[in-house]
Amino acid sequence: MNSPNADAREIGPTTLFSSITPAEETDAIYSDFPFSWGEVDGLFRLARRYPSSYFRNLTRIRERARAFSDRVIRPRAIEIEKLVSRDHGYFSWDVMEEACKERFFSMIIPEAFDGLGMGVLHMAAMAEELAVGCAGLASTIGVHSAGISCGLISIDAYLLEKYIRPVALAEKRGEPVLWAGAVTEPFAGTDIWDEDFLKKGKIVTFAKKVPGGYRLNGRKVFISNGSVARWIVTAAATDPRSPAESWTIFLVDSESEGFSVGRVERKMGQKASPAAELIMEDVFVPHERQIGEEGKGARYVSIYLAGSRGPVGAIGVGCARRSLECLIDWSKQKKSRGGRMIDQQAIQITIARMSGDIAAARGLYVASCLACDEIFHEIIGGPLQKAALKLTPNGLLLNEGAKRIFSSRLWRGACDWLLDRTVPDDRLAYISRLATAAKRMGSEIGVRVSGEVARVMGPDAYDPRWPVEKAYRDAKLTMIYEGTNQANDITHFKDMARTMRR
Amino acid sequence: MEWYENEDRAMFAETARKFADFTLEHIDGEAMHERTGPLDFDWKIIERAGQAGVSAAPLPEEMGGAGLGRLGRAVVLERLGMGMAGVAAVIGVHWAGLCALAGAADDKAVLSWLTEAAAKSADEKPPLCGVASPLQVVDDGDPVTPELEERDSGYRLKGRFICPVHPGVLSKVMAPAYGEDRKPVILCLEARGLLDYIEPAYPGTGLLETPMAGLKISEKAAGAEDIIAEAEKARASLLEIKRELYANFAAIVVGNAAAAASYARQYSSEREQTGRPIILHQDVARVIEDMDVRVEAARDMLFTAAAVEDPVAGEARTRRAFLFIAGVGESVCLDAIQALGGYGYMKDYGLERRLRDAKTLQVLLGGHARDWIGAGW
Repeated sequence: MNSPNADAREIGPTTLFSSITPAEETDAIYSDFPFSWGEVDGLFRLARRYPSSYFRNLTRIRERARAFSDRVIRPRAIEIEKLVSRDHGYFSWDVMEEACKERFFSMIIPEAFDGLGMGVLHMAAMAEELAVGCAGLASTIGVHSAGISCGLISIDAYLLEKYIRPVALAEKRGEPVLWAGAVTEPFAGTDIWDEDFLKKGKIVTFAKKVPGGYRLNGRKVFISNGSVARWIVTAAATDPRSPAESWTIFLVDSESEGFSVGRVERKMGQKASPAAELIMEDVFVPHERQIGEEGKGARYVSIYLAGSRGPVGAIGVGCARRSLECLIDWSKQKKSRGGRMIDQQAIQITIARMSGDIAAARGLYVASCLACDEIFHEIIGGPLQKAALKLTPNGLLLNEGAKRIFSSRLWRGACDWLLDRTVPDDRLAYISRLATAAKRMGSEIGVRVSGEVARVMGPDAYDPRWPVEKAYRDAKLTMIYEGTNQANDITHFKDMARTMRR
Repeated sequence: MEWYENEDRAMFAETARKFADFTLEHIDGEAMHERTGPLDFDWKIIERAGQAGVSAAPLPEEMGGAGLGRLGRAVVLERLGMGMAGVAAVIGVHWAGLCALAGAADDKAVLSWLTEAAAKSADEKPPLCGVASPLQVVDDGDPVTPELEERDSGYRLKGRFICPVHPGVLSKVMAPAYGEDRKPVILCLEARGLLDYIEPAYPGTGLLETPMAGLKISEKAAGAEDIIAEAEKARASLLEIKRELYANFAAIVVGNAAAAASYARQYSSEREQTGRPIILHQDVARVIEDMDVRVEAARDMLFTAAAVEDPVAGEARTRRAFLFIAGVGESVCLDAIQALGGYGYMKDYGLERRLRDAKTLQVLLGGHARDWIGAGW
C-alpha cells in the first residue's frame, strides 16, 4: 500500500459524470413507480402456479442443508480457515465429497439429466443454511450451481447431455466435478456486469474464430472455484472493436492445453472458497462448448446474475443468522452484575431488531428467487420440455449427427429465440431488480448484524466458541462479488426504467 | 492548532510520520503473527520507536521524555495509526501505562524506574509498561470484579482482565482493583509475575503486531509495595488510565481510518471503469467524500476531548468520543474496501488489514453490552 500521505487528486463536483443511465430510459420511469404493487402481485401470481412439489423440495433441501451444516461444516469451519491461512492453495475436497452424498452439486440439474430438478430458491435456501456453518463453503457450492445454471438456460440439449449429466453421475459416485463462472477481468470489474459499461471497458479476454471452434486468450481474476473447477463458464469478446456486441459465453475445460491457474488470492474471509486468476493462452474451445449465439453473452450474464444475486443475499443472511445465534448463546452463558446478559433489556432489544432485519432480508431474497424460478421453470422445466427430454434416449443426443445439429447456428438461433421469447427485456428487468435489491439487503444485513454482534460481545467475538468475527469478515465479501452493491444499484435503477408498469 | 505552533513539536510529528511510514513498509504483521505466536515479539520495531524518541515521549523532560501533552499524543498516535495500527497500539498502551504511573506515583523507586525506562528506550528490548483492563462480562462462576483482599501477611488479588499487550513483553503492568468497601486501588505489578495466570489467547485476526492476552487470576499474592494509589488518588488514577486507553485507541482508529480513506481516494482517482476514473462516478465520489467527512468529525471529537482539563468530564468526553470514533473507524474501512471492490478484499492492498485492525480496536477494551448495562470499571 502506498503512503497514506501521497497527494490524491482532488476532484471538484462540477467534473463529476452525471449519470450512466441514458436520459430516454430514465424518462420511462413512472413517478409512482416505487409505490406500485408490481412485485407483490407478481409473487402472488407465481405462488399459485408452482406445483406443491416445488415447496416440498424447498423444505427437503433446507433440512438437508441444515443437517449437513451442523454435522460437517460447523465442526470444521475454523480449522479449514486456518489451513487456508497457512497454505492458501488448500481446498477442502473432503467436505466436497461429503456434500456429494447430499447431492448439492446436482440439485439444479433437471431430473431428466439425473439431477434433483430444483430451482434458484432451493439453491438460495441451501446457501443460507450452509453459510450459517461457513460462508466460504456455501459460496463454493453456490458458485458451482450458478455456473451450471448458465449452461441450463442455453437450452442446449447436447451440452446438457455431454457436460452437465456427467456432473450428476460423478456426484453419485462420490466425485465432485465443480463448475465456475469467469467474468471479472483485471481492468474490468464493474464494467463487465453491464452491457452499456462493456462498450467502454478495458477487456483483455478475447476469442478468435478458428476451424472447429475458438481460441481464447486473456486473463480472468477473482474467479471463485477457479483453481478447483473442472468446467469454467467464461465470457469473452470475439471482436476487440465491439466487445459488448460480440460478448460470448464459452465452456472452458480447465484441463485444456494453454489453460493455467495464476495466483490464488489471499482474502480477508470466505477462505474456504478459493478465488483464483485464470490465464488462457490459445485455449481451444470447440463449437459444441459455445453457450448461446455469438454476441449474446451480455444477455446471458444478465440472466445468470438475476439468478445468482438472490443466493448471494442468502449467504449474507446466513452470516447474520450465525452471528445472532452466537449473541443469543453468549448472552445466555455470560453474567454481569449477578444477572444473565440475556435478561438485560438492551440485549433483548438488540436481538429482536436483528431478528427482524434477518426476516426482512430473507423475505426479499425469497421473492427474488421465486420470480427467477418462474423463467427457469419455463425455460427448462415446463411439461413439454420435460416430456421431450425424458422420451429422448440418453445415447441419442451424443452421436455425431446430433452434435452437428445442436452446434449449428440454426439450432443456436432457435434456442436463443426461445430464450428471448421466454425472458423478454421487461421481465428480465423485473427479476433483476428484485435480485439486486435482495443482494444488497442480504449483504448489508450480514455485515451490519455481525459487526454489531461483535461490538456487543467485545473481545469475546474472537472466541472460537462464537465465530462472530469470522462471519463478519465473510459477510463483507457478499457486498463485493456478483457486482459491488454500488454496481447493483446502478443496474437496479436501469431496470426500473426498463420495467413496464405491471 | 496549539500543537503546530511549536516548531519542535511539529518536528516531532514529522518524526512520527516517518516512523509510521517505516512500519508500513517494513513490517508484515501477517508473517509476524504466523512466524512467532504472541510472545516472540518483534522488538526491532520498539527499538526503532525508542531511537525515534517516540517511546518515552509523554514523560516529562526532566525524566528524559519529550513532555508530550494530550493533544500531542493524539496527533502522534494518529500518525502512527496511519502506519500500522498494531504497532501503534503497543505504543499507545505503553504510553497509557507510563502516564498513569507518572501521574499516580510519588514513590521514589517508581519514579527512578520511569527515568530508567526513558533512558533505556532505544536499547535492545527496552522496558515497556502496560495496562490490564478488567473484564466485566464473564462466564458463570468466574470472579467478576477485580478484588484486592487484605490478609495478615499481605494482599490477595483476584479478577479477570484483558491485556491489550501481553505481560510477556512488558516490564510493569498497571491493574485497577477494588479493595474493602469497593474502594479503588491501583496496582503496579511486575509483568513476570503475571505469566502464570495467562489464559489461552484467542487467535485474533486484527492488530496482529500486538501480542494480546487474557488474565484469569483466581488468587495472586501482592505486597504493599505493589499498591501505587489508594482511595481518592486511586479514583483519579483510574479515571486517568481509562481516559488514556480510550484516547490512545481512538487516535489510532482515526489514523487507521484516515489512511484507508486517503488510499481509497487515490485508488479511485487512478482506477478506470466505463472509460473514466471511478471517482468521477457520483456514487463513488459520494462515498469518498463521506469518508473524509466522518474522519474529520472523528478527529475533531478526539482533539476536543483531549483539550478538556477536568479529569471527570475529560474521561466521560473521551469515552463517548471513543464510542463514536470506533464506529467511524469501522465504517470508513468498510467503505474504503467497497471503493476498491474485489481488490479491497485481498491482502495485497492492505485495506482489509485496516478493517480487521479497526474492528479489533473497537472491541478490545470491552463490548457495548458492558456500557449498556452500566458495568463499566
